[in-house]
Amino acid sequence: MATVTLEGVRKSYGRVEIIPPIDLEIASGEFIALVGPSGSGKSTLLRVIAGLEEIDAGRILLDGKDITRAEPSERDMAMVFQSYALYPHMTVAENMVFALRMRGADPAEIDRRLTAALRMLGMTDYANRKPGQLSGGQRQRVAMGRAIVRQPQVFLFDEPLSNLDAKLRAATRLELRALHDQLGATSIFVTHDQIEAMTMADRIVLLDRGRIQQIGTPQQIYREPRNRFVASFIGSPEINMLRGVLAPGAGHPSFAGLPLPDGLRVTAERKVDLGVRPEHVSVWTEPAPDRWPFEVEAVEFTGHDAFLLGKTPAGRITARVDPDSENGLADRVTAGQRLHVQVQARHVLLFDPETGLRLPDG
Amino acid sequence: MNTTIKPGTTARRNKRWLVVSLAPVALFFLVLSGFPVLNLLGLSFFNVEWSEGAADVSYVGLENYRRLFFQETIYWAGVRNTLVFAVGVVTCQMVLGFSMALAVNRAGSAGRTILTGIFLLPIVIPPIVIGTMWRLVMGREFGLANTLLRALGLSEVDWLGNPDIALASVMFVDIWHWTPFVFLLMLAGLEALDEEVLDAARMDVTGFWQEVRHIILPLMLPTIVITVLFRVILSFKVFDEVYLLTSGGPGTATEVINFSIYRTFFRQDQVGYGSAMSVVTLFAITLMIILARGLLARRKPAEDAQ
Amino acid sequence: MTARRIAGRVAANGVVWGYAALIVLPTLWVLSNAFKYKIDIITGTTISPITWSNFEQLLFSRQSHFLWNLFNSAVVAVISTAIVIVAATMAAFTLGRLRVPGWVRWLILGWALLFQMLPTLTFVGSWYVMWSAVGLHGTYVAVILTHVVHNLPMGLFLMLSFMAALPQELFQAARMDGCSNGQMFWRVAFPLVRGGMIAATALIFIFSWSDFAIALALTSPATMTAPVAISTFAQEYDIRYGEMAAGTLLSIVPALVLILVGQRFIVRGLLAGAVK
Repeated sequence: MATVTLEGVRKSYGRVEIIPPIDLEIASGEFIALVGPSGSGKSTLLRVIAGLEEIDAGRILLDGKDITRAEPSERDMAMVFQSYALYPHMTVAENMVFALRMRGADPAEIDRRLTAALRMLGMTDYANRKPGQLSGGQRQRVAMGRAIVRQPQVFLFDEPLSNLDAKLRAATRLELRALHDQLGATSIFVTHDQIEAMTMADRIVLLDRGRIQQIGTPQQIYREPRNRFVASFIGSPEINMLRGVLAPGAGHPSFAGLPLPDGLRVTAERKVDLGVRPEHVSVWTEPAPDRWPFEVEAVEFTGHDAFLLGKTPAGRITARVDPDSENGLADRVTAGQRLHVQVQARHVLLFDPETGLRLPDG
Repeated sequence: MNTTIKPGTTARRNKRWLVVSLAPVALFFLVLSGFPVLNLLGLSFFNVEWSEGAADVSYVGLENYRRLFFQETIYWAGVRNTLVFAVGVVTCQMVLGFSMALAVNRAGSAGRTILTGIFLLPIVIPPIVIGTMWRLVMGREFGLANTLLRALGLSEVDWLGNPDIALASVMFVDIWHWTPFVFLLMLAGLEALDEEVLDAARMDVTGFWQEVRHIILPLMLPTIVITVLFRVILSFKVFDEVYLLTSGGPGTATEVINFSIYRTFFRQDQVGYGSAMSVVTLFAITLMIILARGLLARRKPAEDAQ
Repeated sequence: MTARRIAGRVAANGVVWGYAALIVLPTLWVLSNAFKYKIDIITGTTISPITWSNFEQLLFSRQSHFLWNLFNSAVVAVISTAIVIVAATMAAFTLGRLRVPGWVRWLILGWALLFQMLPTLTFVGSWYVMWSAVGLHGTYVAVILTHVVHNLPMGLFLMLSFMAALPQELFQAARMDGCSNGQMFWRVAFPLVRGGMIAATALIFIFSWSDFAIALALTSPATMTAPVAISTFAQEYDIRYGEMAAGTLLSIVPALVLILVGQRFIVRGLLAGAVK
């Protein structure tokens, strides 16, 4: 259990700056996710924290102690790699105790920790197998076990779930988080999958091209995105982003000439990027003064959701329909059908078209 | 245009290709490498004397073999030397080559391309020329080595003429010759190791030597074993350098198997006896190769389980 | 950069470049001897007047036929390499990508491997006897054909590795298009392994050029190759240092050219053959 602090950490490869100066404070026992698209520098950041890469400027502190110059093995951190990186020539048990053996730990203690970890992961029967004889999911557990046995102050995860199939991934997500809670560790988890981040993390650090876009809880990030990038990256399906002129109007404000329902305070005319999530767009069969015409282009039925993709005068949007609603719209709708959508003004997010930053409502 | 093919045509063409493509190789092997073995076997039972340009062939049964096993001394000195030679040079090549590869792999090196180019030189220079080069360097009177020693005020060394160090000198040349090759192989092997596993190791081990001993060496073991086996068997082929450096001397200090065979055939004109020598040598080395393959085969199942 | 890292880099570079110096310096010294007068070689002066006399002696004098020897080496190397490449590429394609009876593959490749590892000298005696028996001793044919069989295993394994690297789908597609084996070779495999063929050609040429034992046994003064000629300089009581050095320089030329021009090919070939 320990706090991890990054101060002004900067890293470049040659002339390309991968990570511009970053400051980050991770609390003890926190589960923090580093999320971003590929190339956002999240893996590099993790490797820098681990000590596998050197930094060009700044400091890294573990519980206040400067570990910037420390070797990876001296940082009391354990890492779970994307492809698990198990030692192919060692058995499961040998893999897990290797680090402890290298440090000359007491054999009895090693044995105790090994047995406990194997039991925790349900891998006791596999202790003498070699990685080549295990399935992907089992190898993932051994990788976790290797980290657990070390009882480090910090756990580092480099996209450990991305090589698992979808079903296994969902189950392992829960297990991983449960383990974190049980061990009371500080965990830093890198992923490109925003759902993983949203479901597992206490706080999310969203990165784009090395820069921190936002740090916050999943709720904060989802409901109060700082900029267009955050709003678009988080949320599946992606948020609807329309560009147009927002104008106060007689009675109702309007957007791109279309009427908006009450809820937005608009004082002056301005050009904005209007963001509204699919679940905040309601679909109607009949027109109304604050509804927009909507021509359905495609229907996506996922079981517990139905998404209608279509055209409005303001642009293309995706709207969510509850498949279980009484009017049974979700089952009846077809491509080419003309319907009407209402944007729920309370949930609209406005962004400056130039900077991408979110505008305060009104 | 008729776009269908008459049934059976393709099958015939295919069969013809199989024969045509393999025939040259098969023919060469049969006539020029398979048959010579039989030829040697046959000749080994005869005594061949050249008189007035004609061959006088007389059957002697197992006499040549008897002589080889019970009366011959030089050949067996050669066998001993060759074994010492093989073990010695391969050990040095592996240690040096692996160490250098490890160093370059870890720490990187400036000017890799130039370095690789230089390291290729010993491999592509004709071995006989390597012999002349080092003959010039190691020559007692005018060689570079002794010139340098004299310039430093030290006494000169008879690298090639002193029976006690002649073999070592020849071994030195062979090590010089092949270490770069081992280096290139080891480097390629090291660079093929899974980066992630090495990263994991960096987080677990507390020092470089631990990493080498517990992770790198075990992972490189297959490559190392194969390289060692190949290099040992290939060092039995040494001939060119010995021919030029010492011609097997002084005395039998640098006698090697190949040189014995050469001398018997071409300097002493004893075709029958030389054939017997060749047959015995072929047999022994083939046995070694089969044993080596057996060793490798036994390791493979263990590896495949990983 | 930690001090440890820097020290490590310096040490590593030191060792490796030290070895490089060990390669380059003796070579340069020997090559420099090619340009020295005999007296300078003998007295070991490092900086001495440059002379071309060694080369003149070597190439143009009546005692030496080195120019002719170089020509012989070239003829033998070029022709035997060509034959090896053609035969090996075709066979490699068939053995590597077509369905061939297991015993055929085992026999050819197994023998190739064995033959490659056995000492050449053990065969030389028999080759000598065989070629003499058909009256071809000392001819180009004898040396060329023997070089072919000697280098065939290496060519075979090299081309096998290159053939094996080709994607399976290409051949499956060709099959479905109705290609026969021969057509698959010419239209699919051959164009794609050209790079490998160049690598293999470079290596095999060097090995044929470098051969000593076979040429020693099978050539006559008229067909003597360069390596054999060089060895004669060291035979006499009065070692012809200057010419030996000059001959060395000329013999290294193909190798040097190949490294300068085709270093990548050679490394590719060496690693492909060795990792087989």
